[in-house]
Amino acid sequence: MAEPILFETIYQTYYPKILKLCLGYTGDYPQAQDLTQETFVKTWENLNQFRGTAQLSTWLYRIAVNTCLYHLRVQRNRHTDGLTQHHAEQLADEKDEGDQPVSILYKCISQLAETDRLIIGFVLDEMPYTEIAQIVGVSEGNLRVKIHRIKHQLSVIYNHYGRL
Amino acid sequence: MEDFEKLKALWQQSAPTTPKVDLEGMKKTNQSNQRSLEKTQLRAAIALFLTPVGIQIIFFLTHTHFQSALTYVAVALISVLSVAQGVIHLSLYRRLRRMNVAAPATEHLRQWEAYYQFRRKWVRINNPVYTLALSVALGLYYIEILGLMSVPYRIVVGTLTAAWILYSYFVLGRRQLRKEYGRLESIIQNLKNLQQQLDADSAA
Repeated sequence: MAEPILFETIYQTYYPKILKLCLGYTGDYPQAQDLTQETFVKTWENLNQFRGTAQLSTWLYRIAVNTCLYHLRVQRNRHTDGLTQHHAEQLADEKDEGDQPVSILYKCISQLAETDRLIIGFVLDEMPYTEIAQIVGVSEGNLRVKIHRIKHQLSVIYNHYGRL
Repeated sequence: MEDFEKLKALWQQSAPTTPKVDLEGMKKTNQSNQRSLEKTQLRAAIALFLTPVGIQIIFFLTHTHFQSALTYVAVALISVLSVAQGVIHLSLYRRLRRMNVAAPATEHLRQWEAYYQFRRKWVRINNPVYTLALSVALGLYYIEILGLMSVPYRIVVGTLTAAWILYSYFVLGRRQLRKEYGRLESIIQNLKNLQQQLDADSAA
């Protein structure tokens, strides 16, 4: 497949998933959009390096994870509340739905430790543990322990908001 | 875990819309640390490659002819030094671009640490050598040029040139390096903290 067509396919398939992952990571819509864009720019620029030894999704998510992980902490922690609200408004504008619980979920996820935010994003998307372990670079055993802890933490944080 | 299943349903029902692909727009708004580091090296390389071109254009437009062969040697030396320094910046740019953006976090950290060590080592040798060589080339160039000027002009031009070289090396250069090292250290520190998070549950 020619690179532009392949890229277009990847973009259309994975944009919403990567954006959601970044939203969980930042809890902040504009920053999540920036990180998603950066992920796809890197994907485009490095598409020729993809050799098919890993799954395309694993390769793409690794780029997304690395992009999120070394994004400046200072920038990540800015204006979280206001911009999460912005995301809720943006989604409401787009879909005319009351999506407030989703934005609260993003906000709750963004309160977890950085790597936990990414891991739980994959879990919520029902990605197989083997693939998550490959993307994040931890053993599957370690990942299971983490996921158990993160699920509990997230439920506690979300319950704190009285949403369940 | 029933609570978590509800959260999963909530997550999955949210479906952000996909905007139209606009790669050029994306590239313009992309402000990552890595991109800033790449841009700095690329801009420096372009500026240095253009230096001999600029010198040639000035000579062509002003029909400059020197009396001494030494002055031509000095001009050639300045051009060669600029191009050589440009090649160094270009290789740094290429090294940054070649980083495996899809590497696992541990390998990613190693890549950045290796680049940082290489850069520091290289700066320690390259910067003083380049500044010294450029000063020598300028000195050779000024032998003829300053000879055509009156003594007060010689002093003014010589002093201004020396001051500019010292200012570039000790103030501008160090400021630029501080910024670059700051960016690199921030990336590395961030990755180290995250590596600690990833390792945290392994002892459990």
